Amino acid sequence: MKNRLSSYLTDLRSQRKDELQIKKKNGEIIAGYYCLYSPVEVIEACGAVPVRVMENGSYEDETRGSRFLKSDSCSFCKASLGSLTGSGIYSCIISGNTCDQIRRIHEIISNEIGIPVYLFSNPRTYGKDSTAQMFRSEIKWIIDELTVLTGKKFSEKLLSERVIKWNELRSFLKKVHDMRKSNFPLISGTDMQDLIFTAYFLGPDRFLPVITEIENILNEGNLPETKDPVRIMLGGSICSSDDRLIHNLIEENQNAVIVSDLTCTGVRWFSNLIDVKGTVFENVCDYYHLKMMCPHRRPNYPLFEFAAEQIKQWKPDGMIYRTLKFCHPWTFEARTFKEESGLPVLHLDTDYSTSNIGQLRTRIQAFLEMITAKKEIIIDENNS
Amino acid sequence: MKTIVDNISYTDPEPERITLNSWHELFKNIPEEFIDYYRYYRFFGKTEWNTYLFPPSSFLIYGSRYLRKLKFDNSLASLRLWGFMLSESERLFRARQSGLKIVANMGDLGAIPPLVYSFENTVPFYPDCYWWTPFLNESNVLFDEAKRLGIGDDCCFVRAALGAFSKLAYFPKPDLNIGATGASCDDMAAVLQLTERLGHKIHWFELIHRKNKQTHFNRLNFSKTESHSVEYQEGLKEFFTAEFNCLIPLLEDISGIKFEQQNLKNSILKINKMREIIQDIKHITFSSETAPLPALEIMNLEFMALAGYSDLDESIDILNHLRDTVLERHKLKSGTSAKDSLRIVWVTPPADPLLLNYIEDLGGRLVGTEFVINQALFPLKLNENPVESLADGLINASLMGTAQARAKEVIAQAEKYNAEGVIISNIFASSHCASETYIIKNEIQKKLDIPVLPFDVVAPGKKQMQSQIFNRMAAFMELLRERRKKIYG
Repeated sequence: MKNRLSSYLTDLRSQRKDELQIKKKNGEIIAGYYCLYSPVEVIEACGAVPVRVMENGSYEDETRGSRFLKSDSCSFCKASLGSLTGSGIYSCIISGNTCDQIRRIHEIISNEIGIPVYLFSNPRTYGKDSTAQMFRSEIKWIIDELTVLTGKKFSEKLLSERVIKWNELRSFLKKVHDMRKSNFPLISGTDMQDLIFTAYFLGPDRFLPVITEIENILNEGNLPETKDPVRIMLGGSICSSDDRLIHNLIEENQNAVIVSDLTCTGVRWFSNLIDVKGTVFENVCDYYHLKMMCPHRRPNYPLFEFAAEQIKQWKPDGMIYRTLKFCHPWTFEARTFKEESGLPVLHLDTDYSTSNIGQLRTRIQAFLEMITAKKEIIIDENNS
Repeated sequence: MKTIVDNISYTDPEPERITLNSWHELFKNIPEEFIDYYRYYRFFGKTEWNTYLFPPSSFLIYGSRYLRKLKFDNSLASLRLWGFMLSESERLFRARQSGLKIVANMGDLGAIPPLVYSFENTVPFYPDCYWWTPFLNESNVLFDEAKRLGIGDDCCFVRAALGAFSKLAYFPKPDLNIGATGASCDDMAAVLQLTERLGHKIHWFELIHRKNKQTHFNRLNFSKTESHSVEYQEGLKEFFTAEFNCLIPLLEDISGIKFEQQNLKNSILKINKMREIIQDIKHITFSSETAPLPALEIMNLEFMALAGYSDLDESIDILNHLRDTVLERHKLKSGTSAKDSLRIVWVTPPADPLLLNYIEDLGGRLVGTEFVINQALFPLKLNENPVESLADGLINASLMGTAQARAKEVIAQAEKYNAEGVIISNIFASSHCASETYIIKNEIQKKLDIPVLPFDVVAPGKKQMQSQIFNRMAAFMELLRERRKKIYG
């Protein structure tokens, strides 16, 4: 649903796309990256421009990418390959070894699409010196390779400056996310998702100068005042920038609002800050290796602890857990979230096709109605 | 092949693949002394329970109903292999009863057992291998249990291991669970995570992605493994040595035995013996005029390399027997396939064993395999520090590197043994197959220009879907036959 905020963010992204084209033309290295674990501060400190590869949530992209993968591949991976074919914007791709399918599509990106890939090892386990050390040496390798590409020098001082900027960006997003604790959140889940994506797409140098304007727009109020909307936490697979179907279906009737999420492109991206005291490089590595949690970390209990904290503070009434078809890390944890969250959970398993919109809408609305009815019963019981 | 035990001999009939009923009849000719002689855990002496030489029909009664549909090699050595393999569950329970310590290894596929075996009272096994149980038992019990616990049809068949851990009727509760994660298999890692939630503590063993040298890498040094010349990036061996070292105190704790490097060296020597014999048998089989050993037995003996089916000594004895059988058949130019059989390399082990029978029924034979267990197949180079030898061996792991590297292994075998076609048997919705198949198929066709048939193995009981697979295999074999006619006239 278009409003002043979403229009403003769309304009910002459009301008940024043009800027990136110019930067690429001028010989700057546009480093596409996958996943929360890619250290954007390091990429910038090496003189490259980090751009997360996530403009790929369309069915057309998914269809285009299908020729490289079997039908039982994750929709995001297919769409990613589809969007990269003929993209032309990325000088290279930097990514951590996250799930099996992401690991394999990088071979296809490198060998078939022709974009050089630097896949660093991202240990699943943690709490051991060896894995922390491995992660650090992998990031050092990324630095070595990137500085060859950019021709620029990396320094701790430069890294420190970038960390401060990105922390500021994360702090702003945290501030906006905190506003969603209120009974009348000033921002919808859809707009929050767009805001997060825009922030990371622009990077702090372009985004921080516009945060005042964004705050003003937020304070104007973007959401019609809805009495006691159903508060939803969105769980499950990554939501790329074109992938807003579930958000729209949840919030289209204004009887519900997404107040928090667990996705790879949402709240987890900015929930923590990098420590600026001490050795910055080690702090950056510790941030990504230790503080960033996701379902494939082993063991993955910290992700559930994160979810529990979000539930405690943002008080959602229910969780809609949307997994992309064949997204294994999230799909296999659906039952655990159902059992451990303490919330009613609706699990939807879908791809980027829109042929099942009707079914999804029916299920979501029924879920929201159920929660509303439950809330009314509780209110009546409290009153009596 | 004549086998002699206690001065009593038994001679194998002419090589042939035979049915369960035929084995039942043939078994009557096997002297009682042989049944009494072949035992597992021989260190317990001759007990009432440690024999394993039974006709396949015995295991049918115990639940492996699918055996009715399979065909078996008719040699005594193969019968030993089947009996030994199918009695592994029983062996593990006996091990527990006898005070041995059970170590479940998952995901590493053969890299860790040499370390486990270096502690004399510990026994390793692979819950991963229970992925065959639903097929052999023609039962979805384990899959249903896994679904109840959160993992359904959109996961590889290894989810059967989750069901097995839940029921604890297929193996005793292990004393230690070691689960590999990282550059291995996400499906298995998810199974392990849920297994841990059932109350089975997992010690997580990290596998790091093995990089291929790329032209755009300017700052990375590469070495090659001593055991199989596989390329890997600097830092990997040291990392894995540290991971193996983390296992030592855990094994010391459960076994009550102090780790000694010499014990590990001895264990590696034994494991190497096993691996050498397996390589030997495969080479003789793939290069012979007619296959001296059928495809299903090749798969069974290859998977012996993981952990010796929980009894290393008896495994080696069986392998020696198999090698003698295969050598004799090779000398006599006799085997279970026709001389003009179509030569196939098989990629990824088929969970449905019938498929390996079927390819032979269609006039094919195996001349190569890439069963995702390269880390278990090559003898280790014994170093001053044997833990480093383990690390070196682990680096060869099939799934840890790129799909291109896997394809390279397939191509090497296809070239060596003149393969005419490649079959890639996938599992629908498994994390690897979906994204690797294109890469592997492409590489093979680019380098060798031979036909490649990928398909998804269907879950047990889905007869109509299984017949579609049979049709596709039959069509593929017809294609290969026609191709051969065109090339060779």
